[in-house]
Amino acid sequence: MTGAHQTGDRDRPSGGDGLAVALTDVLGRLPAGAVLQLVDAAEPDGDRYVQLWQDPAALRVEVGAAAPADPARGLPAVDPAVLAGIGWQPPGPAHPAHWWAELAWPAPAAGYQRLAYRLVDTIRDAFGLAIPAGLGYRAWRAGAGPLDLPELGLAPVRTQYWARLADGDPVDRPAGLLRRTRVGAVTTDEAFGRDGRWHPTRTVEYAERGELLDDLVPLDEPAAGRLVAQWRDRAAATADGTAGDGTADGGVRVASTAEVRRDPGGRPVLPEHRLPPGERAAVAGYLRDAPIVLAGFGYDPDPYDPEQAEVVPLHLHTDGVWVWSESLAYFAERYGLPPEPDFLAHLRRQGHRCPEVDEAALRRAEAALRR
Amino acid sequence: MGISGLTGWRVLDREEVARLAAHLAALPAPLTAYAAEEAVRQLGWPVVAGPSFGGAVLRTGLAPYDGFADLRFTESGATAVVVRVTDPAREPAAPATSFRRDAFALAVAVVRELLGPPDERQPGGSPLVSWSVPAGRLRLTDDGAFVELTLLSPDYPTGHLTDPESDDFDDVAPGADR
Repeated sequence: MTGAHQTGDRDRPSGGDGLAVALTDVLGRLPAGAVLQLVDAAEPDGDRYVQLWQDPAALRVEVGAAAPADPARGLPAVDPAVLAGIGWQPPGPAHPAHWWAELAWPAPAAGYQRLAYRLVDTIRDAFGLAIPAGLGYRAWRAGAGPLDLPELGLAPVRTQYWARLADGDPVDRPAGLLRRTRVGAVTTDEAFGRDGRWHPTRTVEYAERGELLDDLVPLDEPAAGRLVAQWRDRAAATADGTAGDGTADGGVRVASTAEVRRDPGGRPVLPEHRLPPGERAAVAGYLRDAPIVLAGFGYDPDPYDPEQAEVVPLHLHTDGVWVWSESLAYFAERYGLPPEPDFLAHLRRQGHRCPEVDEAALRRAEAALRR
Repeated sequence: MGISGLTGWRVLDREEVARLAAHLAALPAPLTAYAAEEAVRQLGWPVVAGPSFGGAVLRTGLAPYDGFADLRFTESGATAVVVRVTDPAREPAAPATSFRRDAFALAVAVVRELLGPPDERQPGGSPLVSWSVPAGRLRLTDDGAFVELTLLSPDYPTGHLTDPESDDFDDVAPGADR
């Protein structure tokens, strides 16, 4: 008889059966523009994730395959052979960094069920994550906001963003970007670093205790995303310059950033050579008040005081002859650490008074950073 | 006619869906409520009730459930011909959902073979697919109880029969992009 319908659920003993049943239901009613991410609850922005999105023609799936082994958590490296065995397609031109699959829409019930079990197999066998405890989810619909999917029985991943504003910083050009991610009862705070990555931070905690001088202003997800993209572009463009190798370029020299020495135990050791106490303020003032070539993003932690909030500023300044990171001003003021000898000699020759810097000099300095 | 093995829900089979869709797609011009008798004549199905101000009930000889098609009129003269492809299937929820998904996917595939790719697709909790035909739009929907094939005259209010934007998901706090 044509059109006969089979309704029997798949009889398959597995810790993921409950999730597979819930996914079978949810996947078949995702609206166009919906995105669903199933992520590692302990590292929601790590490399163990699957991402699905529904468009009018198909439900498309990508599987993160870049996760290395995590011995501390007993997790395996994601093995391409396992992904192939589960039935995912290998990376290709349309999915250069992911294993993937597509389910044409509309699909029969069995199509959603097979896909749901494939997802469960991936999470358990390829990622090594416990179901459901090791898993969280994000879901939203493009242009329409988040989707709440309590029927999955997973902890939702909620992320808040803040712009860190020092005096005079506009919200769209903050000095730093912070986020707090909650997966169930687990909270992770991170600051966006100058390397274009997120790093653990205690700055949000300090702000909550009223111990941070800067203001934290909430940002929505799109605004935070724009800042991240903008800063990642800038990080890529200035990667060489901010490293500071002291070489001359177009008449502008890039000062080395402070090198942190460590003892055999890995603890940072302050250098013995310091500025004379009477010169610290003058050197720090010169280094901090000279014109800014590029506004730095974020703050670095102080390697000699890592327990406090990130405080080391990262703007890039110039006096037309040298270009340097404002971090040098912080270290000079707090610890008396001098900049490199040639640069310090230059400051002294200037009488610790920064000359006027014209537009052309700023452009030369910017060009030096970009090389 | 197909019948669900465990629940007894009935669904039009492939040939029946094709015959029904071909019949509706072949109507040369939109039906009009102002010429109700002519609309009924064009459909070619026996009248069970009406036509009246609100429409008519016709016997298709095909459909599951009551075997009827509804010819609906609006005050503006627009028309809709609604034919059920399935019995109503709501409970138990999981098998009912599977049943309607299978019926909807099969019906879309059959009509696609007949009319080509649809020009409207709306996945979601109340999925919808439609094609342009001479008499208006031929639309397949799953409203959570029935899978239906509907012929809408061009001026029929969209969203009157189903609300494709509605789904079972609730919007909550801001999400994040990877």
